Amino acid sequence: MTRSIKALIFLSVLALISLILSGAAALFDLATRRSIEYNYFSDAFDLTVEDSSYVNWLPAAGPLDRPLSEWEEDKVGLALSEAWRGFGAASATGITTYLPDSFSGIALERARKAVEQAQVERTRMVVVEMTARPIFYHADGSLLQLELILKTARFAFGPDGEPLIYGLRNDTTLTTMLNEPFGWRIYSHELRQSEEVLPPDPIVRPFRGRGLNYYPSETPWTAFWPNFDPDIFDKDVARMVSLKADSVRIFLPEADFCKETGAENLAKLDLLLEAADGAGLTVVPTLFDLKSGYDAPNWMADAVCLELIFGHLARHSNIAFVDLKNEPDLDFDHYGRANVLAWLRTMAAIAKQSAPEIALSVGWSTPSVAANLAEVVDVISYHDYKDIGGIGARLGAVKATTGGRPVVVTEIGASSWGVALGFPGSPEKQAELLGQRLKGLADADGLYVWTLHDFSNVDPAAVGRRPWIVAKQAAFGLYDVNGDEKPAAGVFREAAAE
Amino acid sequence: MIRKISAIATAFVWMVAGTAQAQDFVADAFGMVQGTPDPHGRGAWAGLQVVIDDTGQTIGTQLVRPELSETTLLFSGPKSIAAGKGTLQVVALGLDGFGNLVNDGTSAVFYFLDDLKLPLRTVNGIAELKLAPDTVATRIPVSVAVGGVSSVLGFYDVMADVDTLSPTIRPVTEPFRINRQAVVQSGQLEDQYGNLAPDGIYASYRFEQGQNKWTIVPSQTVSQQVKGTLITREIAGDFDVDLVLGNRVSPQIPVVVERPNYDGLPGARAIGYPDIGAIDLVLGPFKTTDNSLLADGTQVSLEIAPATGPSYTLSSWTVDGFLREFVPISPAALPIQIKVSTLMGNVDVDLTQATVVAPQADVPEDFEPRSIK
Repeated sequence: MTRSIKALIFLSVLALISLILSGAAALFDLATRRSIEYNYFSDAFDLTVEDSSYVNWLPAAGPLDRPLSEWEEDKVGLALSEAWRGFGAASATGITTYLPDSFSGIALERARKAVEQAQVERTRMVVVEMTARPIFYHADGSLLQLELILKTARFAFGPDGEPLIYGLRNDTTLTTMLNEPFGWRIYSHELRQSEEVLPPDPIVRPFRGRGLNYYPSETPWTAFWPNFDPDIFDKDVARMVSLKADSVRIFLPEADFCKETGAENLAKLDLLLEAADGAGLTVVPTLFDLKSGYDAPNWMADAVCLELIFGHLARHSNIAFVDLKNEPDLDFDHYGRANVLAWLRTMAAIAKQSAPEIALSVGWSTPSVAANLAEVVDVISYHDYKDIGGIGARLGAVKATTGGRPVVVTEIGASSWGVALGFPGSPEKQAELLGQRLKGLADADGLYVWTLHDFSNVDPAAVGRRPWIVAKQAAFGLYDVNGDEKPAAGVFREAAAE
Repeated sequence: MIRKISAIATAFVWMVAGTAQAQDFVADAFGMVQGTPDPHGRGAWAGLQVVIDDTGQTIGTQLVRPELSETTLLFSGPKSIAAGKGTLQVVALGLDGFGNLVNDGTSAVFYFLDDLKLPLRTVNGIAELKLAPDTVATRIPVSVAVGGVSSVLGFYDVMADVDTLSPTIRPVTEPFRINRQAVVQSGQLEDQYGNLAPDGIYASYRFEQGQNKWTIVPSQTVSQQVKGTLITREIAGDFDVDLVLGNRVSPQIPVVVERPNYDGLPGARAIGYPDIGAIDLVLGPFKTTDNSLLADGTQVSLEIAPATGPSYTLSSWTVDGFLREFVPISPAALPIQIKVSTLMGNVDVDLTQATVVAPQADVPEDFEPRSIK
């Protein structure tokens, strides 16, 4: 057997093994995704997941025959929260099984009818915030009438899921509740007033930033906040400063900031923001990262989380802008474009209500969708990992549609590992590719390179488990896993200094 | 629900110009629909409707007013109320044929008994009336007519004021006997207005025997009285008894529980087991001067003093008037004297001999060695 035949056999075996590995990885990835979908569906109907009252109580309009105690406010608040979360879920799915848990009498009849019509006409109504003022309470605790102010999103979409209309309103309702054997239920619910919540005027101010996306080398993605170490961040800030960066983009995962550990991680966020400020860096917090879904029942909890986070951010002067959600366009197919856009519009309104002085953005994954919600945000941002050819033209196209708002490319980068067109990857090749991208986007108001570090432990929750993806994601850094500068660092330093 | 279709035309008052076109949406309390809502259905839901064009802009609002009243719901509470005390609240909720809350100012007439009518007006679909109850305990029918449509008939009960009931206990003339029932009875219970106590009110008798020694007998009112039954099991002596009802306590009455006497000494016999040095002792019957046996489970203490060797004490209880115990005393130690203590007092019983069982005899199945003090 000649050497060339042996080599051919060897290569064939290698190719076969690669094929098998690739197939197995793809199957595992598919199984994981199905599991996530199942969990999402399950969560949508488990109305006890967030067993909380989302009602803000106002003093009674006048003397009540029976004062509403705090305990009763909690009970009624919980019933109202479950009612409107359940109504949102029913509208989205058409399943009305749970409505009698929260509605009775004429309100139940109307809720069912409304869900039926919402399914046919593809409309949705989601209550995001609730304020209640008692106006009548029977002395025996059986009948309660409330004036509710419901911040309510209504939207509709076409047959292909394209958004048709969207509106956010403060509805004032007269809501009558009965204390029935299984608890409080809405018996009558009538709309008395409704005011449109108009998006505020955009924050018009120039922006200039040359920054880096950041995770620590050892603890990226979901490991970041649970293991946040101010000393490590200080060292990394020094690295960023040495690279002439003036801004850093960070990620606030939903699981870390909107659940039980939220308060603890907000305190860590304060430390990070102060440390960055001390080094002269502005910060772009990116919210709701690794979000589990856009289900109507969770919008109230999302709004509460958003208000908490903005309450903290408003205390700091070095917030460049806030990225409401990272790459939400990647969720269009799975969660519905109209649903995702309606959620973003609503959260933008909540954010502006909480901290009007903080500029907002949405971190689109690609320039082709960057014009979405341009009228809502203050800064247009997108990511560009596409081919280098046309990168400047893509920026120009975005700039042409954004009404003069700053355009920031919040993720560009190149990996020093490659198997396809760039084969073989190398730090030098990475530097060359990054240099081309930085040059092509020189006209962008802001540029953020992905990422400061290479990672030794890439998080499968963020990038999946395909080996070639993991390997590529591990090598986008300007510093290698030993903490040494890669050639791309010099390229960035040079571009940032210009 | 029955609708008055003929009345639909009068059901709407369009407040602001801008009725919905086919491409517009109309937002209401439960979402939105495209085009003009069905006037026989969703379009009749009272309240504000907001017309939104296809760009999401508000182009008008319209107010749907309710029709005439068609259903009246009655909420009367509390369901029972003390005579001459507190406030009764009767609430009417008026709805039209679509379930909308009736217009403000709709008439609401409250009817009590047969002759009392009190006219009021609705606000937010609700009319309410507060009344101070009469001083006479009775059941009062109530109904409300909103817009001329009557509710179902409801009732509220004016009850005797428990807080003013004056509990007393009827004197007990005969002493009670131990191991029997001591039954005490209250006097007739009336409130300050002479209303008789209703059935089912919790009350309790307290039997006090010396300081900090109580027996509580829970009970309740039945036919304007409270009966208390104490099982006088192994308790005897002088008691002071009172009746607690709500926040009131009756005067105390004295009660005596007497102990009976022995009606003759209990007999003593035994089976001896020399190979294990024990006797199967049987004492009884324990007869009382009440011409009965001591109740099962009555405690009996024994002090056994053999002619030689140590003394033993043990406690046990009666079954069918007898006490039976295995005692680790050799049959050879007989005769012995046994001091017997029961609630009837102390007596001495002599055990002179035992029927001796052969060494190879089986130990009885129910043999349970006891620890001897």
